[in-house]
Amino acid sequence: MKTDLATYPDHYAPYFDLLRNEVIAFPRCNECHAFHWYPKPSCPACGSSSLSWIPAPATGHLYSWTVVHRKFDADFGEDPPYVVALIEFKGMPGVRLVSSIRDCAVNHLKINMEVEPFFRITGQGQPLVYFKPATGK
Amino acid sequence: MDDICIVGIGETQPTRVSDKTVDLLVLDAIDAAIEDAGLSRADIDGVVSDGIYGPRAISPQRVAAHLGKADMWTGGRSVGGAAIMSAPALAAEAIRAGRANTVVFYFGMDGGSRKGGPSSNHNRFQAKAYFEKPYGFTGQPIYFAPWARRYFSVFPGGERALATIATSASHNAHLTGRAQRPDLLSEEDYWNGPMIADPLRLRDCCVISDGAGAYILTTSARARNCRKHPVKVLASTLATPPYAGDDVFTQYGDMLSLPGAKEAAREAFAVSGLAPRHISFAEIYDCFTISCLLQLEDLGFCEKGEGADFASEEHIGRNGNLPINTHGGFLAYSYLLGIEHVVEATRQLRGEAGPSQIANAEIGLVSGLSMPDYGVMLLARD
Repeated sequence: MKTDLATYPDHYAPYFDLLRNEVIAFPRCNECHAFHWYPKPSCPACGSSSLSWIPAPATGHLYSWTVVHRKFDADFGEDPPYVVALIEFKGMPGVRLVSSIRDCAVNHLKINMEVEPFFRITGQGQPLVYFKPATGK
Repeated sequence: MDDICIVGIGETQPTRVSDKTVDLLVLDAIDAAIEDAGLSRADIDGVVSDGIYGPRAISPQRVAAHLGKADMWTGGRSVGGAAIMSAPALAAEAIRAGRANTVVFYFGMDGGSRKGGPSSNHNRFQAKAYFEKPYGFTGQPIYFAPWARRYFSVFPGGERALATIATSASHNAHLTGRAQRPDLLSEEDYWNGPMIADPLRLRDCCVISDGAGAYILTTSARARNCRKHPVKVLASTLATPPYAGDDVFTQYGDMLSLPGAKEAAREAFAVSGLAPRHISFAEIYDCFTISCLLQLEDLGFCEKGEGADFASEEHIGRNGNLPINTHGGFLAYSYLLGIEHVVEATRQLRGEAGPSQIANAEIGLVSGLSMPDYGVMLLARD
């Protein structure tokens, strides 16, 4: 079953609407102030449905990654090897973003290295965010 | 809960692709378990499986029809590996309530022949399509590789432990004469294996299988009339941390402990009055070498971070003080989410494991993971 990724469930919409404008933001509860990820209709910590979307800092940190050497998903357009990365952001505990690192030799990847986002829109209109080593600009 | 025993076990021959459909494999396994127990189909009055895979392979109603019994008690619990370990607790409730006397647990899957392989099951998670698949985060080796890298970065020496877990599993599988990977893996072979999802190599990853298994539960009083020596179920526990299933591989904790493992083990030891030092062998959910390593720590066999030293041949090898995966586990025997682990533990406790029989098999721990659920079963020679 292919999912139409140009339309989103209601509680995913804020993330993708912001991402389309090149803003990465994550849901935080207005009651207990806990972040959560992936998006849920209400706060999994306290149950409140009052959530705000908080923009991430300009850079994140590489929590972990893998270099994938086999094709697992026929729907995924890229050929191996490719990097899948988990990115964390300062001040946003409870959030790890699944993405990829580009423009970096795999032997230069390091746990906790600082990375910055860049944005793409797919031919189907789906916004995506990738990361590369932070330039310090 | 030592009034409940396993009295019969059945499994199909480990294979990647079977020429039978999974529903027929399940019925074969059930009939083998009934025969093993010295019972007949008419003796079975309860059917239990997990809540998703088992009933999708074959409905409990069809199993009941196969057994030819009206008013069958049926139940389902959790999913996959965690269900296989925690189903006896559910069956025990039915037996104590007088709803059933003799309950069969079944589990079968078509991981080898299913289109898209075992990971196609994860397409049921809505978040996966939006937040993971667009970046190529699909496939179990990809899920566990970041955990391995994280472990290596915090606890040096983990790489060596993964090699030992893989070669030890291969050695045990070879002895069974039935394993899907019957070759004897040397350490050199391990390191020379191709990377699948770096840092996980080929032999860090389990096989994939078509197949089925079953076990039969009844009271210890009825067990005495069965053909084989009964195996007591000392504990059967389930723990479920609050994760949705789609988020657990990427968001759970510090990625150094598996969800639910510690809690399910703590409860199993509490209800049985036992401690990790009493366990004579363990069949651990070894979908990957790294998940096996994490569980050695999470289950309490060693402290967090000590797994790399603990996972040496002198501890986990078949002559060690805690032999693990005595049939070769998922890494080399078959990948049916742990039903083969229960079958193997029962064989060991009966002294029926033949060339792969270990010495002094008195109490076995069997573990099942199906993120975020985790189940633990403690079994003992009656």
